[in-house]
Amino acid sequence: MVEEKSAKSDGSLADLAEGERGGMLRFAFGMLHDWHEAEDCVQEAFARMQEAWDRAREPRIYLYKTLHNLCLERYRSKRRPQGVDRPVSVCRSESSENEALAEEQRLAVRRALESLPEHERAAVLLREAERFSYRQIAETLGASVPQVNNWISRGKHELRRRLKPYIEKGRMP
Amino acid sequence: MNETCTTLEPLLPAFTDGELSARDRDAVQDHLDHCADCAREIRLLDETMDLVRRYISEPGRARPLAMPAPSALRRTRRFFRWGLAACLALAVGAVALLNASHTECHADAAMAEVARKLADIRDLSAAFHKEFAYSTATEGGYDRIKVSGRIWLQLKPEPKIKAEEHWRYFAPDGAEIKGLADDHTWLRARGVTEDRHGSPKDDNGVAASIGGSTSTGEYTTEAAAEDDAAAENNANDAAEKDDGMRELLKGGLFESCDGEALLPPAPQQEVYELARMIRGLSEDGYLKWFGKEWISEKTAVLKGETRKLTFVADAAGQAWRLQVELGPGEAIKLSLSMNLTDSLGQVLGVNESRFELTALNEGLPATIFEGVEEAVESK
Repeated sequence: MVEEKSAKSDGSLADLAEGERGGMLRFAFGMLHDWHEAEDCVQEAFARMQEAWDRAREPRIYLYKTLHNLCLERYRSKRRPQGVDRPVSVCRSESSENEALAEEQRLAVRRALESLPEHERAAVLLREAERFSYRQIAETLGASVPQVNNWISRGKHELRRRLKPYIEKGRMP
Repeated sequence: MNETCTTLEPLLPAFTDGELSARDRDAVQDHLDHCADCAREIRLLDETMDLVRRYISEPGRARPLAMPAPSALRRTRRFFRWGLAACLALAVGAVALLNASHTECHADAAMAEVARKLADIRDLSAAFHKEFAYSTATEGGYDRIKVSGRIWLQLKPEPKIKAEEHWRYFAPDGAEIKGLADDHTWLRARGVTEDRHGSPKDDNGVAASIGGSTSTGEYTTEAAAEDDAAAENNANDAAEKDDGMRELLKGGLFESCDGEALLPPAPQQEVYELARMIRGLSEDGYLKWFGKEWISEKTAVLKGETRKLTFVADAAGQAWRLQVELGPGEAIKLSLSMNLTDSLGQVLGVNESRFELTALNEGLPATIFEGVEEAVESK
């Protein structure tokens, strides 16, 4: 269980930024599938955090809530992200087989994540990117813990269903 | 699968996440001890999440370098890089200054200042990212180039700025020249300057990086690659241009990097800076250097959401226009027109120049124009 940083006595904004940046980037990337967009959103979230520092009771939750909103805003404005339907290259050499498989897996994960409803995707990513507890996820997404439980259950099962072929392919020698 | 499996299946993710109550956890555990199907389901869920975690943990992937641009296009590219380098320098300078103060100030205060400055820089960055679809065009005989760029900043664990340019080349008829699409990546961090088009260069710190030998070195590298007789002349021309550009930057953008506020606090200050730039362009004969080669139009958000700067020059250096939007409904325009004796493509001198300063809106305070007047002149 990740130690909760619920008070500012835990440290400064600088400490928070240093500790959370990696997880925030992972979360934002999982939402947007674009490294640059993720960087932008994380930076923007920090800027807003700075402005709200005096009034944010739980900075970590505030950060992720802000980041989630920014990601949704950007994701919706993009509509369907470019490249999502990009076909996997079928022209492979022996030496590039592993690389092709890895790329195929990446595309599959991306498609699987995008197939989830936004709240399920966000809940799963908060859990997997930053090991948020279900209660923290509920606070971040403005939901109840049972709702989050439901979202994560459905989301993970759906991801499992979609990615099963790639997992089995990855096991092959 | 039996009925128990169906009942317990929705609980499996929470089981692996350690989020079940003690009673439910025991029930699932008891079932798993006897059910191979559900045990396999648990493993599949774990492996699925491994895939997801791997996916979100390695988002950055190297972009392949395309073949270099033809030399005829390099000068245009180089100017763009100068512009980008100037903006990078602004950002690096700010981060360096702020970083220097970081050790002396309370961490919170320093971080707050950094965040505030970053918000400003971000506006500029966002302009690159969102609006810097830079395009060039000339009439007859010249290729058209379109480029988009993005720039982003990293504060932690160390200040770092990366920029990426994407170039595409078009023939005069609008058809893209295949095979020339080019990605170019910059990295500026403390003590190191990397450029995909050159070798990593060790600097003596950020200030040295700001000192701006990158473009010179870059040109030298490119020029050295030229194996025709024009290489030496090109290098000489480049050195002259780089010196001139450095002077320009010292007089304009670089002042901001050397310790002044990153972005002027008041609109007037922005105008002063721009006026100095405009004046410097003429005094240094800058327009001659770029002559036919350069045409650009770029818009950058300086501050806030409504203040924009548009900088336009035509292919022959015949006209410069610089427009500043100060706020909603407030804008001024500085323009420099030049009438040239030479025809397009043979610009060697300037016989007349004229500055114009135009208020596009009424009601702007008179102080806006203070310090700009001397730039408004005719030669």
